[in-house]
Amino acid sequence: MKFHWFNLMPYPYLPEDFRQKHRSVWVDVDSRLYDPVKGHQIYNDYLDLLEFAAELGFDGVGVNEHHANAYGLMPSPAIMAATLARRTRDVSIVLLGQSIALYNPPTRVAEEMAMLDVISGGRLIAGFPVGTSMDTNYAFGSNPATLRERYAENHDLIIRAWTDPDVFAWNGKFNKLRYVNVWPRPIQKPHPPIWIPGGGSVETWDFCAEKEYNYSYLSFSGFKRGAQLMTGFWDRLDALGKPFNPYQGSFAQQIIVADSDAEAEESYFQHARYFFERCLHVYPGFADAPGYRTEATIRAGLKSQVGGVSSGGAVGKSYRQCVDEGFLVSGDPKQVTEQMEHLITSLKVGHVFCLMHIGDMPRDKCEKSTRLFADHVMPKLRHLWEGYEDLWSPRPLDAGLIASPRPIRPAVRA
Amino acid sequence: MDQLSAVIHPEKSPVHYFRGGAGAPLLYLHHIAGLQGWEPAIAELATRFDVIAPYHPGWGPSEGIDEVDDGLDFVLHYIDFLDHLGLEQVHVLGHSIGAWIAAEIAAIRPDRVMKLVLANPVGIWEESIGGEDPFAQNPMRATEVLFADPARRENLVLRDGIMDVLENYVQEMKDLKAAAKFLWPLPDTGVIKRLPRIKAHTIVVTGAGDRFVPPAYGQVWRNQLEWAEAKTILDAGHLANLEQPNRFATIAGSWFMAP
Repeated sequence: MKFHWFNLMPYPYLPEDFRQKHRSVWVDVDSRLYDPVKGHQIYNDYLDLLEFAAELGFDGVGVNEHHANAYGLMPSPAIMAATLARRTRDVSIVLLGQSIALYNPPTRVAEEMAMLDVISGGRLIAGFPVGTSMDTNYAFGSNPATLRERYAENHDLIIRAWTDPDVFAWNGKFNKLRYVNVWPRPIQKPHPPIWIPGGGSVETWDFCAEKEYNYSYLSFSGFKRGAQLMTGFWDRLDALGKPFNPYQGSFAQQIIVADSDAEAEESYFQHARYFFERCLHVYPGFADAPGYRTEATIRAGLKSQVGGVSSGGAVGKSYRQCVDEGFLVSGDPKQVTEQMEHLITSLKVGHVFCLMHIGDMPRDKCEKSTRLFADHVMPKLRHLWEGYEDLWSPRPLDAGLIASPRPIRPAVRA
Repeated sequence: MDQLSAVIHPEKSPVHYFRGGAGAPLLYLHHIAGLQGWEPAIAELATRFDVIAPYHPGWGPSEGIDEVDDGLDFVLHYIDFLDHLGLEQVHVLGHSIGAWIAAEIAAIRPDRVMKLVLANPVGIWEESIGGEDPFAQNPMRATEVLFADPARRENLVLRDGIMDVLENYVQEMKDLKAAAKFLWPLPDTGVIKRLPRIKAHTIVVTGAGDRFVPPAYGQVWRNQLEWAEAKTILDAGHLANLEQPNRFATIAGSWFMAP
């Protein structure tokens, strides 16, 4: 069983009345709410937390891409991954990812990911999300009527750019390149493992099944609501005659570990409420551009999720409701271990993205929760899925070939 | 009125269309959210004209959104359609995105167009005028913004409960997806530079309550046209054909009938 530490990097200073005064945390969120001086400290705290998690023995540290979003301050995730590649030694760098349909030409993604794989010594996981409608269609202006077609072409181009040793010409519908020749080339052959973050498109299941990619289900609604979608993926694999391997599935879960359940509620729950109430406050008109979801996906989800609007699921719920309904895995180490075992075995996933920094949680609380998880929860769950081979984790260079970055030293006084 | 379909090229999707009435042929090109069947405004025009009202590729029951990528493809699509029907010259009433297509036809094939009506025309963006984003609306009420009085959607689109809400949602998303292919992220199709080529006498009709294409755009279009008049329909939004069908049909019909 593998655990990856993940941080969305929210802006933690959204005002108390954000829901009342602003229509959306995303796309048209007021830039005057952002203070770059505070932002300096926030970025460094968040990167420190990722490095801290790496030192505690998490298998991977994760970053992702959002645009014009006050809860996801990583418009360029490759920049974050680059700092982590230099400041960590043996964890996976889970880049989840770059939204490959947005880059023109997408050979840019092939180049940057190859750079990260080489700098990190072969530790990169290459995430290829379609991206949310808010990010891709509204903030980045990509046409929803052609987004998925563009995604498919860009995927094919990136894979060929990594695997064809010769210079080739690409005459696509969206990309025309006379000379495709990516330098550098990734360490991992034929290419870094590919993980597909999905929010529930039925087409994504088939894509992951056919290409043998990892399906990463990302939601903030927790594992009880996620069961239906993960089950859908395993059922599709089975129907296509592909063998079951839990490491082909990943799930993201918000987790709080404290000394006691009471401490989790009293000290930590306020930060989850900040996330649910302010960070997930998305204007429904930005949630689902016409054409973003295919007709098949709309029809499959119509009854349960009309309009695809997912914001606000946990708004107004008590701590107990959030834990009982799975929005949060939370409590003391024993309780969290039990809930995590339930999550892992019911979803049948071999990878969990542990969202341990939630909302406006301060650094010290997050470090404590992370340490409790690493020391008292992870060791009790490692044995799960013994006997299955993880074909979706990086294959880094042998230790003898890994470079040692120069340590950061105090400033030299004049 | 007949509901028909025409196979123009064996390898392409058929054109679904309505045809009814008698008189001079009138090609009716619909708005971004499709056709509500044989609409009252169309029926009224059919008392004086032979009205042909096709679904654009990708809207309503029509497939074939992949067969059109730009304005030129639309022009060729409709010229082929007119050839198929054996119509050498037609009046053209284009509404919303249909007005953009109509303007392209009139600019590129002026020989095929007698007179032209451009109603709530889409395709020019001016920052000083702006306009609401029709693709950033609450998905369950996606077309409300197209009405001067949003409450009219309940009656004119959902037909007071006759339309299944979920089926209507799927259809609206399909129609708006097709519109988005040409109008995303801003409704600027580049048509403005071709408008001076139009020879047909043209009336530009705007809706006083159009939030998507505010009526100030009427003057912008008119300024580029050699032979043009303008009219505004009161108490009408972008879907002026549904909100004020009599005014809409009367203005267009009178324009085509005038000597």
